[in-house]
Amino acid sequence: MRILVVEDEPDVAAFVRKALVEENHAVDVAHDGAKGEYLALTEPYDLIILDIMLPIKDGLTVLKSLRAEKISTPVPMLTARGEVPDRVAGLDAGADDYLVKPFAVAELRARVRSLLRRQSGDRSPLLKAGDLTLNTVNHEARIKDELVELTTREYAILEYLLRNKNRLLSKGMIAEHVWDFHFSSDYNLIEVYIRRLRKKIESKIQKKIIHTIRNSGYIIRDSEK
Amino acid sequence: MKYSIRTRLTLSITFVFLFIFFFILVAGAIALYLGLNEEIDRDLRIEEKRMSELFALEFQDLLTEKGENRKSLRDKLVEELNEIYRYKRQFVIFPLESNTGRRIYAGGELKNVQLLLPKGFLALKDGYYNQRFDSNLYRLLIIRKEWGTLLLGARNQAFFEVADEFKEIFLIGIPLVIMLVILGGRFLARQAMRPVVSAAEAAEKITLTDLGQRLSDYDKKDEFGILVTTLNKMIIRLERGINRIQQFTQDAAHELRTPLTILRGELELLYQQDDLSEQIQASLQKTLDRTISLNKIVEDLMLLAQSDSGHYKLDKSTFRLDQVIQETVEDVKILAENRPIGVNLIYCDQVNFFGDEQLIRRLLLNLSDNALKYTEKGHIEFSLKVQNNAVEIKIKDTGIGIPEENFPHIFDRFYRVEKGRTSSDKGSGLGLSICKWIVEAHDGAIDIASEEGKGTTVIIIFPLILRNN
Repeated sequence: MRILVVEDEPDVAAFVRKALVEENHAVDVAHDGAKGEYLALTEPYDLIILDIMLPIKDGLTVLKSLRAEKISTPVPMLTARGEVPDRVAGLDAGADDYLVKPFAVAELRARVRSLLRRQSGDRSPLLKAGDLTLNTVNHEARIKDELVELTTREYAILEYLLRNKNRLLSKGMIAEHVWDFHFSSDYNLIEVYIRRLRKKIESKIQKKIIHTIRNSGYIIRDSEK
Repeated sequence: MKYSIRTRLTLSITFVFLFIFFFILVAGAIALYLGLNEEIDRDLRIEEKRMSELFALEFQDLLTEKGENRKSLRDKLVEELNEIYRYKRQFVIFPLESNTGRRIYAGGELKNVQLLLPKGFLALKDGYYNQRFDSNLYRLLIIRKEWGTLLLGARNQAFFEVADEFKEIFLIGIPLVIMLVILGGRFLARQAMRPVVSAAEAAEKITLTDLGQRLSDYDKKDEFGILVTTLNKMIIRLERGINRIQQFTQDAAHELRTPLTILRGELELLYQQDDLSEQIQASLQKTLDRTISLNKIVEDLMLLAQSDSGHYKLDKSTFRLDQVIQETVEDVKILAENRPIGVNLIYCDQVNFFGDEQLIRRLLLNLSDNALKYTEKGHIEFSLKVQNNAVEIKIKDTGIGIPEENFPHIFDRFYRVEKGRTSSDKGSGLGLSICKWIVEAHDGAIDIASEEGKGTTVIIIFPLILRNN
């Protein structure tokens, strides 16, 4: 897929580009609003990642002019945290999603994946890994067809792991995503939840799904390597 | 300050007025007294002229004649003088026979005039003298002529007349004047203070978050005009200062955010690579997770900075507070799993709460994290109660407590109770300041009771706003 990244900070643009290239996308980068707008109007992109604070032309203006030109490419916007009006303004201007800076690469990849999937017409709310299926609409987890009862937290962790299938997630990343809080007690909490998830899922699949990598992170793999 | 400016102004005005009033009275009295004295002197002088003429004519004969002739001459003169001074009783005239001091005549009210004479008056120069006699004051005029010395005296009533004159003014006038001056002073003081009172009222309305306002509607170029202008200039400077701080905070946060985003992104990309050595991956994980923590601290600072400037917008919605508490308690139970701590939700009413759910979760996690950090054994109890249109959340632990001397500071930024704390805890010291802010942003109140060695109880009360959607 072709993706345009409009971000004035070269280093941010660089790692976003790297993260997307790793997912086998073709990525163009524009460092200001005007250039971004020009590229978006002239080239066919599948997705445009747009920063709000941009030199020459800000992200919201660029987005408005794209939508006025009937370009309906999905646009996730990058915004500063806590600034609710920004976020609302972005969504009002026609953004499809927003990411709060500093964002996690895992989060970015998951959002991009989901937007591209929607774009391609695949509107299935299901996340899958082997026999495990997670319905992101009604928050149900099933193994084959059997329902697995999950608590809110267990579901949140499982969904995060599945959205980042085949990617390693550290305990810190999980804690940040699920609790938005930094516990002082060394992620004991996450270990407990992972243990519970394993008990609930792997006992039914008879197979390891959530892998622990050197006691520092977790990963869900589609198949055994 | 014991008295208001208005009272003090009234007192000052009263004192000044009274002083002026006294001054005028005393000056008037002195002027009157001097005037009366001058009048006496003038009368004495006129009398002296008349006497001199009289004696110049008849006294010479009296001195030269002898025997019967002299006696009849003298009687004639005395009769003449008596005739003149019948109605001028206050005058005492005694021309003296030659310069030997022998008296020829004394008239007026005092026959025994010898007593009136100043000691050694013969040696005195010509002129006016004051003399006291029989509790009366006399004004004397001594004039020397070739035929002898002329001494004229008049009772000096000036002082008593003045005193009489002013007695009434003092008795009636002073209380009246004091009353009038106090009333007038109060009125003047009120008039004078009015612009100040209105300026103070206007200033009251100007708060840190609303510095756009100015003290207005006083555009006269007087002292208060200057004060108001000065205050307005100060407010403008204050506003600029605050704006600069806000701008700085925003800029600083932006400057921190960008490198943090990059740091995080790059670390994450590296960490997620498959072909890393164990050592590198472990080190990357530690760096990444610490970067995430660092990020949280920056966000907390941002949050506090924004809350200070009133720029933080709460993302309010209606949610089930009891569920949030239950989830938190569930987390705390897990965190306390391998420790001798019992975690209980002892009471939980069902509550639909209107507020910023993210922030309320933060609040509860922060407080729970503290309770866990400082409790070795015993229990942590949570409760959620609804009573009288208020929600009360209570978190009670049997931890090490907070020493009393630390109490005034526990809500201060970056403040940490060091005593008895293990070195392993890693708080930023922002936790409780953020808790306090979150509670206050929801119009609530937070109170912490603690006894060292026994435990800590945190009580939060929120007003319950009922929303119909």
